[in-house]
Amino acid sequence: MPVLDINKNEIIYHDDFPNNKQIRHLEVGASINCFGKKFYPACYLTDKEQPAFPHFYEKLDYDETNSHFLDFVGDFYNLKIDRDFDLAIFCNPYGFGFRGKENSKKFLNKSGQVLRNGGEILVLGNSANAWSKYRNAEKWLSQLQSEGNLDYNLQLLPLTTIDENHHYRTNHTFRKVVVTETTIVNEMYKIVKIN
Amino acid sequence: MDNILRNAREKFEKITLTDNYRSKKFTKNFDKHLAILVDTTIQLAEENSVLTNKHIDFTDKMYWESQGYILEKLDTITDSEILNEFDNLEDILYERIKVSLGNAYNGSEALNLMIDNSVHDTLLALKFNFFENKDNYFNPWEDAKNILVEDEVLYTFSTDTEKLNSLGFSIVSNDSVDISDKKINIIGKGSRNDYNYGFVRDLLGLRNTIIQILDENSSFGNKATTADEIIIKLRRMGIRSNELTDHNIKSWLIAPLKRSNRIGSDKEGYFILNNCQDVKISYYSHYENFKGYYRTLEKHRKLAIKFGCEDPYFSSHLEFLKP
Repeated sequence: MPVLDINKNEIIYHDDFPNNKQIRHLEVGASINCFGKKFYPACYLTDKEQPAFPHFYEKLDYDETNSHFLDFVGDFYNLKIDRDFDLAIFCNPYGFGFRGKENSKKFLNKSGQVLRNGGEILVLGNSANAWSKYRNAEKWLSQLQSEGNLDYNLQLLPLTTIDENHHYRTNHTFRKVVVTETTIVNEMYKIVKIN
Repeated sequence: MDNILRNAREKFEKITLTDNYRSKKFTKNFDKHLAILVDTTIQLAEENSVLTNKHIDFTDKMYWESQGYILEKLDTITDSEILNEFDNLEDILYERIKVSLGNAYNGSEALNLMIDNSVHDTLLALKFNFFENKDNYFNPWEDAKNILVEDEVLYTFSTDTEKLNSLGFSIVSNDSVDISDKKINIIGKGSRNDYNYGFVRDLLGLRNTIIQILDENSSFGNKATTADEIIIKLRRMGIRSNELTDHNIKSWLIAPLKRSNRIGSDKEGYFILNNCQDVKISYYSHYENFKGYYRTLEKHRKLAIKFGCEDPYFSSHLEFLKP
């Protein structure tokens, strides 16, 4: 069974990263999930490592449990692109985000770099994940901004708590790599790039 | 609980970094931290951990996911007073570390990332004390915390040597190809301008290497390989006893493979469990041991009765065997 996006279209592979300007969404650290392709169609999925799964387009009858969906493999922090996106998605990220001051600075500056003015960073995660935790985003964004340590003017929007009835949770399985259990994503928020 | 936070605050306010740092101590603490982190993940995930059933090498991402998974399972702190105090303690740690670095604080990304890492692991070690089910597990961050608190150095690590080199560290490797990708580099820095580095072996990768050794030896139920033979092979590949002692190999590599049912054993040694016959041989060996232990415990129980000890503790083995 092919995986369908929110418009009921079969998700597709993009082999033209980052050049297709029609693709306005970018998911970073997508791993074996395909959240961005499902809920924000016209999305490039990227990660630093190639998961140990075959790519979905190689399989005639692919499904979510036996495929990965990446369009590009490379380190977000070393990404050099001559374009911008409307949305950068981070779905329960590990290795980049708000685990400490320098990590937050690096994350926010790089995210700001790949977004247009008015573009948004969308972060979803479990409330125990230090890399995505809203409390950490609140603390470090405010501190870095007041110290003038950020390259962009960013605005954190209020936290949305995602309960078990939220359509992200009812329509998507947030999978991990080290365990076959799923992640309970219960926090979501956006950060807007003002300029 | 307040005492825990008060004591931590007192300790954190006095944190200093040393100017005399060698890699041996902090790599040892990191090694212990990593072993407990991996084994806690496996313990929590039971049959659902790919750390036991796939032939994988450990990566940074697996480290962070393991850490995240443990927190997702165990972190139950919602008390805002406690969370606020953790925020305060975090600020104290950042401040104290910068003070202690003095002129050695150059503001570089690499150094700041080391501070982030050290601060967070130290806080996690403390937070663990507030988790409801903490008593069922070893604290995975205790040894990582000791790198800052006892060894008095900041640290960072990566399985990706290129990443560390791109941050400005110069990591050199002289390993054989068999094991060169099965190591994790750890950088330590105290109050001097320079840093020091060492490495630990990737325990998951090495556990898979042991499976390969058994496979190459055709070690199945009818032909076991001894612990000494495994150790000799690992030493020939370049794993020195100052990195992993014989005891470390037995307890961190071989024993977890047994616990996760990837290998079996009898009195001759270890072997791959591939079919009913292999399982039967391992089962028989453990059953014989079990009978021996059972008889010994029964003798103790009867002796306790003879001595008039009325402690139900002496029937623990009988309780254990109840379905």
